[in-house]
Amino acid sequence: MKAYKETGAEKAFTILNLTLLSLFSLTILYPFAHVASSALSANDAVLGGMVTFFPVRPTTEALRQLLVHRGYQSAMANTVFITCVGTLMNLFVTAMLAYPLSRKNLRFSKVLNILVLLPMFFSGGMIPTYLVVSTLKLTDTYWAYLLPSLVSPFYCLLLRNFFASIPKELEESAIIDGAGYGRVLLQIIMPLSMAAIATIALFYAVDHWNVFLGGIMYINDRKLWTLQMFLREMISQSEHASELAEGGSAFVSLESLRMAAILVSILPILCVYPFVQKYFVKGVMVGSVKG
Amino acid sequence: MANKQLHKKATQDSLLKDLIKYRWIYILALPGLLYLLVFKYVPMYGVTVAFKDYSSRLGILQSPWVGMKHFMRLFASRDFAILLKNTLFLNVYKIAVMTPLAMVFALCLNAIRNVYTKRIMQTISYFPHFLSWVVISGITFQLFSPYSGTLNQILIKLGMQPMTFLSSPKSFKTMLVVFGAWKELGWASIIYLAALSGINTELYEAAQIDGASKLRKTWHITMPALIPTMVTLLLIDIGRIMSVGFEQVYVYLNPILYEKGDVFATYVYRVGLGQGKFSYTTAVELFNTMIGLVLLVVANKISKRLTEESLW
Repeated sequence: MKAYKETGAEKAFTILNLTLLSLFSLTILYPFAHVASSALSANDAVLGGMVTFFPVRPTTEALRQLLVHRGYQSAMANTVFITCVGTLMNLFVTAMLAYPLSRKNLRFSKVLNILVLLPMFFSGGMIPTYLVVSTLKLTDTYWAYLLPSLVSPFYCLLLRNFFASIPKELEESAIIDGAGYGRVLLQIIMPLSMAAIATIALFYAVDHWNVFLGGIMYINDRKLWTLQMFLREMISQSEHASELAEGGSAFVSLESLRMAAILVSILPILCVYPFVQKYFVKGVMVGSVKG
Repeated sequence: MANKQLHKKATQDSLLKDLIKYRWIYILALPGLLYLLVFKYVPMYGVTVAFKDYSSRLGILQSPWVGMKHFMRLFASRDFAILLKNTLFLNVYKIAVMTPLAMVFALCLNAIRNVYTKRIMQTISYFPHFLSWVVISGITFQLFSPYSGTLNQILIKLGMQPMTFLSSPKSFKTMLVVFGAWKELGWASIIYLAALSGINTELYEAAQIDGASKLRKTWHITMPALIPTMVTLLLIDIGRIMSVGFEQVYVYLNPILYEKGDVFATYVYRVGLGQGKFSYTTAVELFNTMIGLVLLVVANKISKRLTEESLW
């Protein structure tokens, strides 16, 4: 059969295609290689623009100075706390809401679905939400990071679609055996939905890890700053006005410190993401756009 | 019809009975519903402060009504034209670049035969989606820095002038679109890849027998299969046309760039929370939301007529 023989034009296309995709990948890989090698290079090499792919005269001085910085330590601790606690809260409340939504036999299921769907099309906006949060006296507390983003309607609908695809017989037989709905959710539905749960757990965790707008809206107290707020201040500071650069004993430029901070803030995502990737493609597809 | 409804009534419990019978499953939904009520529905009612003079002493309910005052102020202000132009232009620019690019990128990924190469390309291209704009701004400021950035180092070596386009008003929007595409291209292609994997392979085989070239197959089989997905995504984009991307603009914005880069979201944050003009900026947001909704309804109607695709 001649079907599997590539013509010259097709071969040329394959080569062109791979070249273009590789170039695009390089534009993603290079910046990260550059950040990592800048964070680990000697100070004057960074300032002189000598660093490209690999560290020049490797040193961990910038990393060490970053790790002992007070502001950095508290920002990191806050962010880790918010990410862990926040994601757990998100997952449970979202799953508990998604479960009744997925049960079409309930009389109120349609109403509930509309209640979840509506905020995706019409939102009160930044200021009214701020007014609610400040009226409840949540500003300058950890709650301001956790509560206003407790359930994402979109992720909830993703999970609903996944739950709906689980055979009802499993639930019914468990109910007959005397299990409550909470137990069915926890011990049958959720374990069977690990692909979807892992996906939205990653999404929620990344949202918490990257939280910035929520921070600058609701938080004034520096002690409650997150990593992104700390980074933002570092990035927008000029070299002279830096309190950071003066703090250390050995001279480390703000530029090196910045790169070290960026590197440290990317690392956790970099470590978790490849393992969850195989789930999220599936997870996103099950609940694809139209729901 | 009537029969069907009768039948439905017979098989389903009455509302109250249903509520009692399934009370535990409804109780599970309570925390989520309470959240939606407090943080989604109360703010929806809160948009009424756009028609009031909000004072924190009186709260949302007690503040006095002032009618359309804040909207009039917005339409009369010099900022309004700038904001409207920047917001619309930036988002249309983004959609016009991203939509075809994401489709083409999905086609390119799909054309890779080797499974491992494909997976590596996917892993790499999805990654930037998970990074915050704060991080990306830090990286880009470094790479494009006029002194030590890689790009300008190369330019200087080639004997050219270093470029300062990160802080130039002229290239601000293009820069945002390029960085946005860099960050989201891989992620945006996922949904098209899903549509591609749903195409019946028999179609390709039939075309093969009829002697169609690869290009013709792409044009006559693959593209039509992607159109419904594209239209749906386009409609969603149009619905969000007024509201997208606070963080992306905010991290690159500085006062020199307001004229070319300030959008509604950054303006609302700066004037609303920064200067405490809550009622005025709520009016700005409400105006935004309304324009977005109107555009969505109109676009959906057009799409229904042309392609029979509709969001509802």
